[in-house]
Amino acid sequence: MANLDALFEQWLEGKPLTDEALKQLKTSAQYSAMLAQAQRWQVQSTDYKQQPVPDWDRTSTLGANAKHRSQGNTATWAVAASIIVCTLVYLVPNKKAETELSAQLIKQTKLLESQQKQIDQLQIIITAQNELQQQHMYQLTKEAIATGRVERQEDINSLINYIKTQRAQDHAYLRMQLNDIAEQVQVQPMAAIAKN
Amino acid sequence: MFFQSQETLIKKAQQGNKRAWIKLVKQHEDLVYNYCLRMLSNPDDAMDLMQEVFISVYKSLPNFRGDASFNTWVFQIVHRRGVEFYRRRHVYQSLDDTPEQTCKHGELEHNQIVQLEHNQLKVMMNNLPWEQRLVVELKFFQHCTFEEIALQLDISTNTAKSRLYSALGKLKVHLEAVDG
Repeated sequence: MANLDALFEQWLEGKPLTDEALKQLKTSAQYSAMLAQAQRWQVQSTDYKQQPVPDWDRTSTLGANAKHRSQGNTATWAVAASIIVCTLVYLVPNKKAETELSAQLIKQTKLLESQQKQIDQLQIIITAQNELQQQHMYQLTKEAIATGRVERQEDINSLINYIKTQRAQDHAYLRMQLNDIAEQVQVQPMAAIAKN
Repeated sequence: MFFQSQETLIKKAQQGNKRAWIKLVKQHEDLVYNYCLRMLSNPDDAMDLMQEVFISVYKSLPNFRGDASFNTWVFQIVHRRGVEFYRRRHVYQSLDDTPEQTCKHGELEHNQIVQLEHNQLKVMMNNLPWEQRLVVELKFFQHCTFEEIALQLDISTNTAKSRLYSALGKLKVHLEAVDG
């Protein structure tokens, strides 16, 4: 059987078999059947008439590769486009951001300007108030000084009046004392009067 | 000389020479188309598969190093693309689950002789699962040895043999059914 298998394989591989070997194969039911089928396939192969290839676009395969190549190009373009897109994506928001920032800057500048104006106005108001306050202080000080002067004048006048009164009283008292002494002297004897 | 020129064509095609590629396609399209036609039994499918094959070949062309002959390399791609194509069409038949088709003999009587032969081949091929069909194609139509079949299909020589014997067995059953 192994011999028949080897013979059949040999025949299938296209190696010539002796008549004896071929006869051995044909006498075996199994191998004769397979031999017949194989011969039938061989007949089919021999009789087979090559079909002409219908017209077709051969460049389509190239196109696919060209597509492939263009895919390479496309890939390159895609990369370039990606970079551009990324740049745009990066820049456009930046531009937007710049615009926004500019707008914000303008707003802030305007706000600062208005605030500066407000500050200036406040400064003016404060300065005016300071001046007014100083004037008020001056007036108050002036009034205080005037009042103090008046008060001091009044006090001095009072003191002068008091001193005058006291002086008058002292004069009066001295006069009275002198009168008393004079009376006593007039009344006293001459002997009692000291002699210089 | 031919091999040399083919090598030159391959090198030129690898460098992106379109004319060289078209020449290569013209050199191989007959073999590939008829292979596809026998395997798929449908001219439109055969054209589609052939186009896919050449697209694949051109895409893979930079990877061709010349370890095997260009023809062998092309047919390795043909087999792979063929299997993919066959699976995509949902007509894949596994080795264990092969429906036995009956030949409608009456239909064949009206066809011309050549057409009859082709139809007969078509019926015979369609009767086989894809794997066995591949082995039959390589054995009887491309006259490959079992070693070459094994190499091309990336299987052992024993598997190649057993697939061929199974295919021959199926043909016997089929012919018995046809002959009544």
